[in-house]
Amino acid sequence: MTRTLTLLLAVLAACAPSQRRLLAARHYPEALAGVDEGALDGGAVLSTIAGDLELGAHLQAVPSDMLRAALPGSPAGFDDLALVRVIHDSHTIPLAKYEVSLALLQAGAPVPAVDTSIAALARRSGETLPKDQVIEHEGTTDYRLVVRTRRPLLEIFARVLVNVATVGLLHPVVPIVRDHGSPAYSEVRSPTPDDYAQMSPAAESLLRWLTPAACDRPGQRCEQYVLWPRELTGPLELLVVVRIGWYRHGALLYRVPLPPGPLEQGLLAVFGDRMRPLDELTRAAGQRPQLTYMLPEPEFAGESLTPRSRKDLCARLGGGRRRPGLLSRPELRFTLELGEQVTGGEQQALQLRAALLACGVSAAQIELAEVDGYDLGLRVHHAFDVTAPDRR
Amino acid sequence: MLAALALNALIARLMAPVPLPPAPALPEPTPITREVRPERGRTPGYFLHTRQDPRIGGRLGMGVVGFLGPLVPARAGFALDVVLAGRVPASRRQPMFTLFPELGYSLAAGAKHSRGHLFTAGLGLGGTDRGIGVALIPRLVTGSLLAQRALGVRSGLLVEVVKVGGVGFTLDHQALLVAGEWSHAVIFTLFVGLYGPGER
Repeated sequence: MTRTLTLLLAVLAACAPSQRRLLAARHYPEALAGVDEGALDGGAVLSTIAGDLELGAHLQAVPSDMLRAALPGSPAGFDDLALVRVIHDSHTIPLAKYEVSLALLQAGAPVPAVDTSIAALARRSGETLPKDQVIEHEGTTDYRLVVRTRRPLLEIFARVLVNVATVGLLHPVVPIVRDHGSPAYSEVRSPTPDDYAQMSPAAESLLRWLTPAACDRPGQRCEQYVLWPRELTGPLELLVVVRIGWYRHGALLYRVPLPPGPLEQGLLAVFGDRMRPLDELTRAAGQRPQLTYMLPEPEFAGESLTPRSRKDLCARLGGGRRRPGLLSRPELRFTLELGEQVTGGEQQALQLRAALLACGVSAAQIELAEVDGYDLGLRVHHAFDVTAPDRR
Repeated sequence: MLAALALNALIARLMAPVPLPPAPALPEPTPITREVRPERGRTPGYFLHTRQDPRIGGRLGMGVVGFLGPLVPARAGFALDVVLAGRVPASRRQPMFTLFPELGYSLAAGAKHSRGHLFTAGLGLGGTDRGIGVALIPRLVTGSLLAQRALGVRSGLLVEVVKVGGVGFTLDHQALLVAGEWSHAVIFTLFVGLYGPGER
């Protein structure tokens, strides 16, 4: 009764729904819209979604002899690469989609990407690539009498007369016939997938396995393959980035360290023979999953931050009586994302940095990144713990 | 017939994609038990919509007025409303909680010289969604009825379908104090309305 009455009063007063209510009822698309607007706490929304999705993954490298046997012609050129099968899934929650991408880090930096173009794969498999087909089309002629009036005979007679009288000098202006044919031309046709399959079947097979199928709905079991260098030295780490829904600015980041040794053994040691929740894996390695999202775009009057924007920023960092601020979040970092096309962007970035420092952020927590775009954005990163919302 | 079938088979064979081997068959990992975690109730829609701009316009309504009680000698009469009205969305939810302010002139003309010229001012509360509006509107009424000064209230229901132009109806109860006595009436009008800017 009290709940119904509160709801009715809220509707009458035209209030925004509370964050707690949106999350408890799993109104995630609307909660993300609230985060995008800056009205809701992105950390709370994304961590609740992460807890509800409970992403699980399993990675396993295909043994090199198995890979060689599976490829037509059993080429040995891929022995230094590991074909890794990635399976991930989640609970079915009311979210349009999410996208999972993986990267292998070596000493904190991404390992150099393996060239997976068909040409590079064919070089490794020792196969030749089909060539572009050039088709020469001959020109055609199709002369037709030029008739523009309703009296064709009279018109043709007049045109012939004019051309005879002017010895053909006026033919471009007063034509008798016109060519409606087409000139000769060369058409270049690229090889089709079937051409590749015939000429370079090993490279084409591998390329098809590496092309991910569309799979982005919560609850779906997704399977894809990635190609990484097999022999890597140094501490390896798996970075899983999960982009949530249409809200492209927000993401969940799981870093799973792999034990020292070959990649194949490392993956086997971490994942074994069962799907593992990413949150559990990250915490088991003594780390915490991270999340990132954009804060509302700061407003500037010229090159200086407006007092209102400065006040909003401090309130967001310091928090209030009912909502803890960002400063209380673990492993907090900020990135000033400066668009290349922003005029006076450096001064604005300095102003924003000064405002962050004035609101209690330390200099070590702020970094600057140049991005493609026309805006200066403020991205926040912090670690999160999964807490189930009160769903009463 | 056989030749056609053989030709079709040959074309199908030539056109079929070149078969390539499937990806290596690794053993399936033991899955995590998955469940469906549904949304509870309808999403409020607040953050999914933006607040719409206020609209202003007017309506011209005609209908009937039924007089109750002995004060007015006629039982029924003609009713005309000319109203300057606004639609002020106060919410972002759908349907939108909307204020319906209005100022108007109202004519009630029955037999036996039972004519009334009344001016109304009201502020209604209601909802709008894609041009459909429903509101309860209380109004203060002042003017003359039966050639005597009248003061009272008119309240009732308004239902309309108006994007830029449109139609609707009102059903109101009116209580007027005329020469120390209360006169009650029920008024029903059909109206045409025009508002700008148009509904998005």
